[in-house]
Amino acid sequence: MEILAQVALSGFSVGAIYGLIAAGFSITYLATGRFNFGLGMWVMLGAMLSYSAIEVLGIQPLLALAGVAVICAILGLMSEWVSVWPFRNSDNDLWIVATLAVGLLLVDSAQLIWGTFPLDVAEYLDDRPWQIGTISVRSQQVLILVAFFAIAFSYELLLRFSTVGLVFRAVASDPKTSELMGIRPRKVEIAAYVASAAIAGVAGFLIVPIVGAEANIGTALGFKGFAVAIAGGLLAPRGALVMGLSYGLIEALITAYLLDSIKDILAFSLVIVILYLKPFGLFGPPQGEAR
Amino acid sequence: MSFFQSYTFLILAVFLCMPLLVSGTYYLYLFSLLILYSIAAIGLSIFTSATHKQLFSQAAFMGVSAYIVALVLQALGDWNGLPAISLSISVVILAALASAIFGFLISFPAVRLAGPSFAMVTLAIAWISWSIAIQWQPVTGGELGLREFFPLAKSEVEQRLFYLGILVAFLGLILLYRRVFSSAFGLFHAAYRDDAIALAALGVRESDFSRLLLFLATALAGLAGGLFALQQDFVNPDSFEVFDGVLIAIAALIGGLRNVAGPILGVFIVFILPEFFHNLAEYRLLFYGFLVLVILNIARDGILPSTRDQAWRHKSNFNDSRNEKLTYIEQASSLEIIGMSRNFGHVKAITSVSADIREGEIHGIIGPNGSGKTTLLDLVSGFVERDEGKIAINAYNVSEQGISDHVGVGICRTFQKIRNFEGLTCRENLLVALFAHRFRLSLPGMCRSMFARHSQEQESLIAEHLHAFDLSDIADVDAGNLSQGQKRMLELARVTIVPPRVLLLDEPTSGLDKQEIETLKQAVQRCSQSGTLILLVDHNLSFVSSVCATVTALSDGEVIASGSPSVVLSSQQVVDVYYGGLEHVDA
Repeated sequence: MEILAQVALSGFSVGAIYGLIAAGFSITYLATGRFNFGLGMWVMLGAMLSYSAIEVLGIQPLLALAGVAVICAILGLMSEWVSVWPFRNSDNDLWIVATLAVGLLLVDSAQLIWGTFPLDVAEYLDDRPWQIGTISVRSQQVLILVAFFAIAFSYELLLRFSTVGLVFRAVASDPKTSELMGIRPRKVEIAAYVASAAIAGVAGFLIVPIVGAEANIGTALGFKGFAVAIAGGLLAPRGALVMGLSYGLIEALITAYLLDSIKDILAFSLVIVILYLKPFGLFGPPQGEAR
Repeated sequence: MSFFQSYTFLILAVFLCMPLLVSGTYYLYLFSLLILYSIAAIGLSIFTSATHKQLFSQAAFMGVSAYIVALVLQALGDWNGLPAISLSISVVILAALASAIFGFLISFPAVRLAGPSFAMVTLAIAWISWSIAIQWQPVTGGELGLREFFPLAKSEVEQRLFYLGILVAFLGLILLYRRVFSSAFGLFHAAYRDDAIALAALGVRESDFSRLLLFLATALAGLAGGLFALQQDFVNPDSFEVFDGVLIAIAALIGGLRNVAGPILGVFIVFILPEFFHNLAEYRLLFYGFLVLVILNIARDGILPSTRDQAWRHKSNFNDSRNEKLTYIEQASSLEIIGMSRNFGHVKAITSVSADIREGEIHGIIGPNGSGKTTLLDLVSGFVERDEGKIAINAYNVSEQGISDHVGVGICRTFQKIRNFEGLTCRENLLVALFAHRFRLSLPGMCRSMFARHSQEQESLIAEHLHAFDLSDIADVDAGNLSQGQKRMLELARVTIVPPRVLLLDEPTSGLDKQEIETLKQAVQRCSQSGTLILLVDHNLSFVSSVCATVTALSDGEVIASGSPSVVLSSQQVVDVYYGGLEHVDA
């Protein structure tokens, strides 16, 4: 039982990161039908920047978080200019390859700046494990889960009740008509990419004490976040968040009770099966065109 | 083959012969990589240029086939001389086939997916196969891989011969590619690229076609992988990483997808050029990143964007010996729509609509926007599944599901927003329809289409038909450059060149001027006289009342009146719906 609780906690905390990354994918897909395919590299960027801010410059974690989010947001905006906007009307979804190319630039730059060895970042709250009853808990895991629910909750509130949310949903359902109503889809698109990059940066900030800062951590994280977003349904923001937690749990269970080495094989196969049964994701629309 | 094409082909052949002229084996190795990755990239270009979906798993399919080759040759043990050569060739071919079957199986979950999801699934497949290669140690040898299974190609002379072998195979493959793309299949490919839905409306099943393309793409990847295994005499998971699949896609995209030279150039830039800059290895990803961003921002369709590589344009290649007659489907004498219903969520789009169309009759459907007219056409043509209701032709139920099956029983349609193959000429648009009629019904048919060219009869049939629709002058103009009226005519010509039993027209007059409407009217009446039952939806009431013998009026998905145009248009309910209860005004 204790082992199960421990497994569940670590599964959920990694899953929360997948969920955040998935939200980063779905927020731009919702508004524009496109997204940053290399978002995992932005998580890596967030992790690297957090290392520099906290371990090198000695900035308070909370301030560092703000800095990471802002830098990622600005770079995210710049990358949207070169890798997404020019390809909005392209035949072959060229933005997929172009955003991936920006990701490659980030990886190589990170290797040149920070080197290829993993760098350690101390946990933000407490470096020693906490004992809750008989289970020992890493403070960072708790922090991740708290941050996840805070972000998920405000994301949901924002989409549902604010004008921003209304505008987003309007552009998502019909960009042409919303333009006629005086909304500028371009601005919405920019806002979405800024938010997406910032979320990825925050995810990197949250996970770095656990996985360490290394230039190649982004690929797996981003890809799993992407799998989660698609399996949950790119058009269903809540799906991405729920699916993220479940994916993390499934991974942790496979590691604990089967074999660590086959967890990716099983988890990805599961995603393919889900897509076979529900092409638009578990929480997506049952049929019809996805945009 | 045009002069330009044979010219580039010669340059390529000479270029690829160069490593045979210098001593040492380094260039042999480099150029065989160029050839092998090119084969995989060409496979990818066949798939992506038509479906517009990104395929990131080519390296994985190469890996599958490479491992199969290694394992089989290892199991067979030591062979030598001529038997060994023929044995290895057959093993490579079998492995390519196995890889293609694997691709075909994966197409079942994959082809229905939208672009981003499809890209994700291909990445997942690449990741899964790579993990399996590492984890399944007893069979794959884990990270170390397998080695020394190919006893040939050891000495320098043998390596030269081996290179010559794959060079000849590659050049043969390019010639075969050109041959296949100047066939009916090539035309289908171009049509699918332009408008997959319009092709489906001619009866070519969308999923079957993209499945076939995926089969071809993965077969080529498999061929490349099998030869790769022989060339290296060594396979391990590092050679087929997820990232290699992405690089193959990048190579094909920056080179240009629509001709065979594009992927080759792309592979040269992406895989071969960096080999000359070993000391700059740490900047490799920066190089790829900038390369993609710069090239795609400058040249959207790649460095060699040529769309006209297909020898299709040459009109002289009538070589079809089998003078197949068009098999006209027996004409219909009645179409009954009985109790048709369809809901979208809570919205009742169509509620128990019935209509009856008799021989020689043109039947009109009218009603305000949102009354369910287009949904009715979608239901009758199989674009939307029906919740309830039946369609009967000559009192036989049409139980078929799906678009192409409806075309199979002779129900064809046009679209409110005109769908033509805009990159093809008018002549080619009609030819697609003729070929679709001949090959549509099966996957084997699609395969046969790779070896079929058009015949003299087809050519004259098309000329006649173009003349009838007043399109003769613009027969060789791309459909994308026509006026609205000409586009409408072309669409109508395309769906009627093989006379359907039932023709459904969705808003045929929208966007047409008075003169064009007159031409359209004559064309529609001509179709009707030749025995086709016509059901049309239109907003132009004077057009409807002048062509249609009977009219059904819909409002909120229900029939509110039906009968002759004069009766329906003067019925109180129709007047209420159209004029909001005002006094009757003559339409």
